[in-house]
Amino acid sequence: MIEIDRETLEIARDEAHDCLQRIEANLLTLEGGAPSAEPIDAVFRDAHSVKGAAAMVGWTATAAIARDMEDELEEARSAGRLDPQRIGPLLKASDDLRRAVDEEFASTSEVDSPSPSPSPPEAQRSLRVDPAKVDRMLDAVGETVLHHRRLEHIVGERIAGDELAGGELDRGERLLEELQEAVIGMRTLPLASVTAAFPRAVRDMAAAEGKQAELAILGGDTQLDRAILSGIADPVVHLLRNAVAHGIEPPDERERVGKDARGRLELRAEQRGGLVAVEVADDGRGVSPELLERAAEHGSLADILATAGMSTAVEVGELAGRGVGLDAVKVHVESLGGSVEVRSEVGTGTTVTLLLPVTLAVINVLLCERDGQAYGLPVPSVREIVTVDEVASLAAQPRFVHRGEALPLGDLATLLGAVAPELPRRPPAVVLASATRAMVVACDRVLGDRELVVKSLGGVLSGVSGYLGAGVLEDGRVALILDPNRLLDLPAAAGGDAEIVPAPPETGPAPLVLVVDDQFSVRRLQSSILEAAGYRVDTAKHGREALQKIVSGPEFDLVLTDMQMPEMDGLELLRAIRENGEHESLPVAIVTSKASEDDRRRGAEAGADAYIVKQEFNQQALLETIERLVGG
Amino acid sequence: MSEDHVRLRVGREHYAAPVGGVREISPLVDITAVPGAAAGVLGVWNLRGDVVAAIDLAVMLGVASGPAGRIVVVEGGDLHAGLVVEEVVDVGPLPGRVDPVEHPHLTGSVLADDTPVGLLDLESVLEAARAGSSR
Repeated sequence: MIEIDRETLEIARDEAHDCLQRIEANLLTLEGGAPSAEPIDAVFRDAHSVKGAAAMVGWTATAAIARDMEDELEEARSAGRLDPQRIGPLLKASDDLRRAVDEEFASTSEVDSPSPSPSPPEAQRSLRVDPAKVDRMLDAVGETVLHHRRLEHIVGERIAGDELAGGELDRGERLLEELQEAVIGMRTLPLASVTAAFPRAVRDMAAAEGKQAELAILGGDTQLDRAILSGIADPVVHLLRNAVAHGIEPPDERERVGKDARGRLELRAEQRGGLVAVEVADDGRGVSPELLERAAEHGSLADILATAGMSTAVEVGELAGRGVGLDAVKVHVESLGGSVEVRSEVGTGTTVTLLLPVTLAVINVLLCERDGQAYGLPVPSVREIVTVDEVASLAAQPRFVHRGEALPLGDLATLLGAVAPELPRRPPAVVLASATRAMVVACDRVLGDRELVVKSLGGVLSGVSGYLGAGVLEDGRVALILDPNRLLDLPAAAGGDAEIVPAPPETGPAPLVLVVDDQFSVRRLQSSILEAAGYRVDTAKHGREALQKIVSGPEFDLVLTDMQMPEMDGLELLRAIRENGEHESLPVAIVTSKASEDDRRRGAEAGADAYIVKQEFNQQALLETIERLVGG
Repeated sequence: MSEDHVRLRVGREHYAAPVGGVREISPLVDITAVPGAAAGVLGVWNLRGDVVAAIDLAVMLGVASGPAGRIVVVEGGDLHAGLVVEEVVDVGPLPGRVDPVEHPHLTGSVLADDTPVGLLDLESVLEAARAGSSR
């Protein structure tokens, strides 16, 4: 027998897999009723390639199946058409072929596995790198960014006014950000890398139910972190299955309402700002009007469906089917730092959107302090920040009554099983929520939101559950990043003897603050920090909306605005306010992530009253600044 | 013994780790406690961007100890962590005669300058910290 090295076998296997993927896709196209000559040719060519390669490396079973397939396609080619009845058997043959390839690869590569693989050819189209190496690089870059911020902090004040030195510091920061982005980019893969099997799976699932369905994939080249990609493959399959089982109607029903007998599913992916939206849409019957009505009253359709899926109640009936497992999908996506939205129209279809961070390497957390230590909570799981001014009790467990719900209340330290000194009077607390559960977690102080580079606790601490990882703060300390689902899972009893002391109620009308930011999560966070401190808050998505509210709405005491926004940015808003005779003296504070001297100068020139850099953004600094502006 | 060892002190007792298992010796820094970890695990700290577990060697050995002074970063098996000790005494060869000791975390002991020195089984210490940190 000819000695064949492992690398050659690997190449043969990978090529066969590529061919098989194309064969499946083309068979599905043929089934969809596409003009047939071209896909028939393509399937023939791929079957032929697999046969040739298999014969070369001595995979006889593989070669035999490929030859049969080739023969059948040869006939179809000369006939100019392929009998639709033959698609099913051909798809089955391609499954057999794939199995044969894997089996024969395994048996042949084992034999000569001791032979070391030769060094790869010089000119490779892409470079294979151990993911751990990329992570190590990302760690080093993250650390360098933090180091630069510390340096900027220390040196910044000493070189105030030295434009040359300041400019170089700014330049360093920009270069490092670019480097960090480039390394994060190395961790990402296109969505298409996990979707190859989906069109076939959809077809088979539909066929099993006596339905017809096809799947189109749009935006397959959208990049996602490989950890997120492997995490969403199962949820997406689940959503596709739901769509086929509960969305797509049987062919006769579809034809009766004037739809194509074949249902259409779309898997779409696109970048939306710092997030990637992955959508599963169907053109089926949609959810019931009653359910839509309930969603309109009670908040999101995703929550209603997820809750319904949990219920076995008969009245929910087939509606429950639509939500089966959606709660699991939602919990999973949230643990990746994402969120789930559902839109549906009666008779027209349903769209489930997973909003995911591009990378798991960086996570947006709300930092809370307890006993001198900082803990991070992923922002998507944080509903709001409250002040615990009154504690109720149920079955001897503390509860916090909020927006008509008696939520379980716990001390962060007690929940984690740590021993800590008593909480302050009227402690701040974070309302954590998933679709089905919510709880209130009290701490000493809310420090504000941060973007943290996530590091694994790993090794010795790999068995400790409850943490998504850890991140390094600007001052070099480590903050543990909590798994919100784990906290929500804890029995309320864990909150046990939380000693939370109520405080006297507030008096007098509170100042009204307008929060302007294009990011929902930022608006929500800032609002709840301000509300917890006793302010009244209104929000606007961009400068134009803010200006409208200022001109036509109630009398605001302060505007807190982001710099970069669509429609009208922070500077334009500021100028517009200063040029408006009636509101020209309204205090305006600018919050932005750029610490650039340039921005600061332009802000000051345009008449900003305060300038808060997000890097330094913490609850204390924000509240002190605001108190100074509205109190004085 | 032929291999150089790092000699450590916890409380009144002396221990030694083979230099091959010691990555570096770092000054004591802020350690972030990790609720849920084993009693002997003090928490984690930031070692040049890497988040590393810090293990209290005194607790692992059941020794009464004074204030912590140094972190010795060690590896054993596929694990690495910092051992928090009071003092690093010296680095060098140890006397050749090894006496057996009945202790899961020690491979034996030697007598150096009339002081008994326990030879640490790093893998065993790290594994014990990991096993105790599962919940």
